[in-house]
Order: sequence, then structure tokens, then C-alpha cells
Amino acid sequence: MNITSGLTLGQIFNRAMELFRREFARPALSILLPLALVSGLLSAAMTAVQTQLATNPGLILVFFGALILAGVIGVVGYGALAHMAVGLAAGRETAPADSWRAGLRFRAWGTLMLQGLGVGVGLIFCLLPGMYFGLVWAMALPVVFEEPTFAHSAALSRSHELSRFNPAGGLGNDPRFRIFLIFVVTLATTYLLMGLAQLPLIVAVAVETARSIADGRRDGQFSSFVQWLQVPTSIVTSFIQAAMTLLGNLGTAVVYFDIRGRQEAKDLDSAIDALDAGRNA
Amino acid sequence: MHEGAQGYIHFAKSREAFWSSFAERLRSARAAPGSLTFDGLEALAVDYRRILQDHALARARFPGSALGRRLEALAVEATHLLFAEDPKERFSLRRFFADLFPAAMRAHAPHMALCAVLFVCSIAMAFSASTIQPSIGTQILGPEAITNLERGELWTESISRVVPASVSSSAIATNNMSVAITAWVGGVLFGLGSIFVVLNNGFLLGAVFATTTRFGMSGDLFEFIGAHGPLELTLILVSAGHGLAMGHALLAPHDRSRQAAAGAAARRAMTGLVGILPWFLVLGVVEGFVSPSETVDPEVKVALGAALLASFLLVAFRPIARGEAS
Amino acid sequence: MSDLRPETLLGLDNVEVRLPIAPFPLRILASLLDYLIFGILVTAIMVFGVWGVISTGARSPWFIAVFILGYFVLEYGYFVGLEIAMGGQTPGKRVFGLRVTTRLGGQASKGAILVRNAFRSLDMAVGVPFMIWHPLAQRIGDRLASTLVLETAGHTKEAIVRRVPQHWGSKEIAVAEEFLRRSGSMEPARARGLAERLLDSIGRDSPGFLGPVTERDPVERLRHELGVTDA
Repeated sequence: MNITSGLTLGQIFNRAMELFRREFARPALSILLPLALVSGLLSAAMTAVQTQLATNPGLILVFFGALILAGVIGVVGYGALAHMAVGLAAGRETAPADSWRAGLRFRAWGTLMLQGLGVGVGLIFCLLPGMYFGLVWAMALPVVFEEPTFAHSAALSRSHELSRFNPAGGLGNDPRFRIFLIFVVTLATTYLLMGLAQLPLIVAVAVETARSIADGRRDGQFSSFVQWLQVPTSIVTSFIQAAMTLLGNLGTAVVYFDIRGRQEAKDLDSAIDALDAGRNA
Repeated sequence: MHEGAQGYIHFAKSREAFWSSFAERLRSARAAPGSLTFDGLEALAVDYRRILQDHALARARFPGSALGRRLEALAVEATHLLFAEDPKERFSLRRFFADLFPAAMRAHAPHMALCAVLFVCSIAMAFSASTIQPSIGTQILGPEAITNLERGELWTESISRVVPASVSSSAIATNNMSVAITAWVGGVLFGLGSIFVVLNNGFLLGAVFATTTRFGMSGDLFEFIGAHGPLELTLILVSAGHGLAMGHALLAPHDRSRQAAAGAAARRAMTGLVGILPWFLVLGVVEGFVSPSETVDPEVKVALGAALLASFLLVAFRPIARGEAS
Repeated sequence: MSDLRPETLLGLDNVEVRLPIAPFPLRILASLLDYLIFGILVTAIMVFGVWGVISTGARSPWFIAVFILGYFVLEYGYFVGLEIAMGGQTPGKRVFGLRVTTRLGGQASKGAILVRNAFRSLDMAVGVPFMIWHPLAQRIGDRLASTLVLETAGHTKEAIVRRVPQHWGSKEIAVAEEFLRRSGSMEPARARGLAERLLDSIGRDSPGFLGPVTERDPVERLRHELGVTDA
């Protein structure tokens, strides 16, 4: 039988990694790339403001337009990523268009914003409350997409309840600790990959510096090529951030279904049904 | 043979004592490898085969069962304990420096020669460029060092007045070892990393020579690096040459896969890297205590530098005593 | 013969053994823990150096020299030394149940451990994508040293049945064992319900199999009736 619950930490990570590797192509172009391009647009607007604001004051409006667009698409897109992750972890064929539609629903982006607000306020009060809220509300979006709860606060409460489910006891089995480890891995991997993505920019800056030394210049100004190189770098780093968010969401979704499986054990129920049916046939 | 569930129960009951005993012996052997006798090891090896067969049977006839998972875990544990990659001979320093290191040096001589050529070209290029464009040297050495040179003093003198020799000695040794390791590791980027380290060091040296020549201080610089420079630069070139060999294996793996060829090259090249690292400690002492010393004659420094280089080359290229070491 | 996956090893007599490849996130966590320990050790030798300088009235710079050398030794020797001394493990790997092995699951040689760790700094910069996408999660150092990082056994308890009804087949055994393995981490009421369902099913199809009720908890009773031992 296919084991979907009662998973160890290693099995949770294995399942998340397997889904990530196998299904990466599905959201890559349809969700991750648009999120990255919007971030690139924002970076381009920022570079344009930095380099050409004196000659074109109207650029400031373009910048704020890009900022609002990036904010809106960001919130909806990250909701879509969570929907895709939940669908994949549940073993469903999830179309990117469905995920975008799910991200557009008020229940999804409203919960995401409420969650962000709560975590943000918590972070203001000495970080720890914010981190704790982040852990116990991590399953709010899986709840929104999988369970018939309507109020945003109900999704947060349900996530809080799920995160405390640990009948076997022990830190290693605690969902909050598991989500914390998923968060740590996602953060560390994001930083490592972003460092790699910034290598071309670092090399370009080094070459530019060497050339300015050879020319005897000491103005410390970089060419417009280097300044504009920040735009593709920003697109790549945003793509990485979104991809790692997907990995984190997959891990969280696997934890969510693991808890549901331990609470409800529907897979065992159906397996016993199948055995009974087989004997009665 | 029993079939179905009864077969499973019979299988578990009849073999349980054997599996438990095997698991216990594995645990003991792992906890205290020295306590394992030849007979005990032989018995484990024979029983390992039976465990594998039981695992194959459980996997085929009772898929998804706990017994199958338990036997698989036992098989993986036993595989780790019984299959050791280390050679039968114990590691010996004598054999390492008598056979393995010289063999690695000989094998990588063409790559080291290529690095030396690149290094000389880089020095020449940087010397010419810095002579034409003096700001290159100024940027590399910094304005403070240039002020010192204008006063007729090398920047190394002010450093040695401030930093105790013991501190500079350890800092120099560890920094040089890091450079050598970087040059070696960089080889895996198709040799580009090693070449970069060689060219970069050559460029810096050429630019510094051009700048000191401009101020009529090149003799002082030669005196300063006379004791440690020859061996230090040789060791950097040796590590880069070994790294380059890895890059070469990646580019031209011949009849093997790139991964296999580069892996074999990395193991050979590791011998070279390990062989040169102790020399950096000696160099650190020389560079920290002897090179900046005003009480040691320049001739003695140069002689010491030549002696160090000669000693290294004698060790590195000594005739291999016992056939070809691999 | 079944499809051979990259992690499948063909052992003696061509018996297939699936190597439990450690997932990349566990390796990241183990590394983070190791770097934390590394940081503590570096801080310790730094405190030693500062203490030495202060206690000698700044007359002995040797303490600083020892710190510089000690840092270098830790930087390049922590992973190599511990992996050699602890049989392919470091404290971080031990906590998360990981071990370095050869490509065939055996003990990695000292040379292989040296090679895989020599590329650690490069792997910090460019090795992550390799670990994410490679089915064996091998970083550059692992590929060149031909090593794997596997999960060690012993972190999951298996419940093995020793007594089953006459009519049961391998599917029934798999379901019962899976339920009993998970029962400790399940909602207690749900676990009791499922145990009762299995007991009912056994009682219905094999009336003489179940003994008199001695345990009040159906999960315990099921364990008792099926002669379960933990392995």
C-alpha cells in the first residue's frame, strides 16, 4: 500500500523533493516565471528611476505603478503556488490556470494577507511571536484549499489546531518543529542559490573594477551595462525565491496531509474496505 | 513451501532467531570494530548472503510488509559494514612520501609545466602593462605602500614592525594553503579556476615588480622574497597543475564517463595537494621570521630559498622505490 | 526483473537493495548543525586566544598565532576529521541519521572523504542545484569522490505480525502492519475505531482465531492477537 501518513521527517522531505523534481516543469513557466518577470519589471523601474529621473520625472509614476502591480501579482501568485503544492501533495493533476483562479479567490489572498499581517505584527514584538505565528499558521492555505471553512480567521484557527497534533509526543514528531525545519531549509537553500545567481553580476563588477583600475579611473561609477545587469539578476533571484517557496509549500502540504492522515486515516479505512470487498466478492 | 499469510508467518518464525542474531552481531561489530575476529567476520560475510536472499524473497512474495522493510534495512547496514573501500595496506607516511607523492608529481609534470609557462607570461604581461600604466601598481599596492616606496622603504618593513613574526608566520602559512587549495579545487571548473589563480598571482607579482622597479626598489623586493619566494611560487604552481589535471580529465575523459575520469583524476591529484601542504608551514616560518629580518644577510636568504626549493624538488621527484605507485 | 532505479544496488547474487538516499533538506539541516558546532569551536579558540593575550599582558602573540592556525585546521579539518573518525558521520549527520558511503553503500575511504570535502567550499557556491536535481542527491564533491549520503537505519520502528488468520494474504498483512506501525501517532479514538474494524473483520471470517477479550484497548488487543513484535 502507498504510505501517505505516519511519515518520518526524512520521508516528508523525500516526498516533497520527489514532487518538486517531478512536477517542477508544470508551474515553472506558468507561475514562477510571471512572478519573476514582475519582480524584474520592478527592478527595471527602480534602475530607470536611479539613472534617468533627472531627465524624466514621470518615471516616478511608472515606478509606483510597477510596485502596485508587483504587490498584487505577488500575493495572488504566491496563493497560486500554495494551491499547486496542495494539489500535487494530494496526488491530483493540478492545472496552473486552476491555481491562478484559486489564488484570485478572496478566501485565498485574504487569508494570505491576514496571515502576513499577523506575522508582521508579531515580528515587531521581539521577533519570536511573529515566528511562532508563522509556524502555527503555516497550514492556513492548505486548509483554505482542502476544507470547507469560510472565514479567514477560521482557517488560521484550524491551522493552529492541526499544528498542535502530536499524540506520539517528542519534538521530532511535533508539526510546529517540522514546519520550522522546512522553513530553515527553504531559507538556507534560497540564500545559497541566490548567491549562485548573483555570480555573473559579481564577475561583471569585478571586471569593471579591474578595467577602471587599468584606465586609471577612480570615480567608482559603474557602467550602465552593470546597472542594467541587475534586472536579469533580479528576475533570476525572484524565480529562485518563488521556486523555493514552492518547495516549502510542498513540504508544508505533505505535513498537512500527514496530520490529516493520522487524524482521519482515510487511506487505512479504504484499504480495510477494499480487503472486505475482496473477500465478499 | 507455505503460501500466503501462513508462508509469511512460517518465514518470520523460522528465521527470526537468525535475523536477530545477525542484527546483534552487526551492532557489536559497529560499536567495537576492533573486537571482530576473522572467524566472526567470515561468519558475518556468509550470513550477509543469506540476509540478501531472505530480503529478495520477502520483497518478491510479501511486498509492502514490515518484514521486507526490516530485511532491507539490515541488508543496507551490513553492506556498509562489510564493504570497505580503504586499501588493505595501512596508511604510512613513509610510503606516501617515498612512492605516492613522487608518482603524483611525475604524472602531473606536464600540467605543472603549463602552469609555469602561463605564470611567466602573466608576469611579463603585468610588468609591461604596469610600466606603461603605473596606476595599476598603485591600485594593487594602495597609496600607503606607494608613500613608503617614495620614502625608499618596502611596505613589508612597516608591516613587520607592527605585526609580530609569530602572528604573520601563521597568517601567511594558512593564507598560502588556502590559495593552494583554491587553485586545486578550481581545476574542477574545466581547469579555469586553476588557470585563474596562476594568472592572478603572476599578474600581481609582475605589477608589484614593475612598481618597485619604478622606485628603484626591486633589489630590496628580491632580497625580501629570496628566502621564501621560489618554493612558495613553486608550490602554488604545483597545486594549480594538479587542479589543471582534473580539468583536463573533464575535458578529455577518453573512454570513460566525465564523472569517472574526473573522479579518478581528483584522487590522484589529492595526493599532490596533501604532499605540498606541510611545506607551507615551513614557508610560513621562513616568511614570518627570516624574510623580514635585517640581521640575516641577503646572500643567506637567497641560499636558504635555493636550499628549500632543492629539498622540495628532491622529495617530489625522487626515484620511486617500489615500482609504480598508484 | 523490475526496473532498476539509480538508488538500486545490485548486491551479491544480483539481489536488488534500495539504498536509502538522504533527501537534500536533511543534508542541509545536518550541515547547519555542523556549522553551528564549528562556530562554537571557533569562538572557543578565539576566547582562548584573547584570554592568552590578556593574561600575558599582551606580551605573548603566540596565542593569536595558535588561533589563526586553529581556525584553519577547523575550517578544513572539521568535516574531514570527523567523517573519518566517526565512520562517515559528523555530529550533524548523526543527529539527522545520515552517513557518507561509497556509491555501492560501503564504507568510504579516507581518500574519498578528503576529496568530497575538498570541494565543500565550491559546493557551497554551486553545488546546491546538483543536490536538488540529481536523483542520488550528489554534490560535486560526492560525484568526484563517488560517494553517497544515506539515511541510517533504526529511526523507524516496524511492527511485524507473528500470527494471522488462515484466510489472510500478503495484502491483509501489509494493511495490519501499516496500521500498527502508525497507531501510536494517530488520533487515539480513530486508532481504536480502526482496530475494532480489523478485529471485527477477523472475528467474522475466522471465528476461532480470536481469544477471550483480556485488553480493554482494541489496539493492544489487535497487537496481542496478531503476536506483534517491534523490530
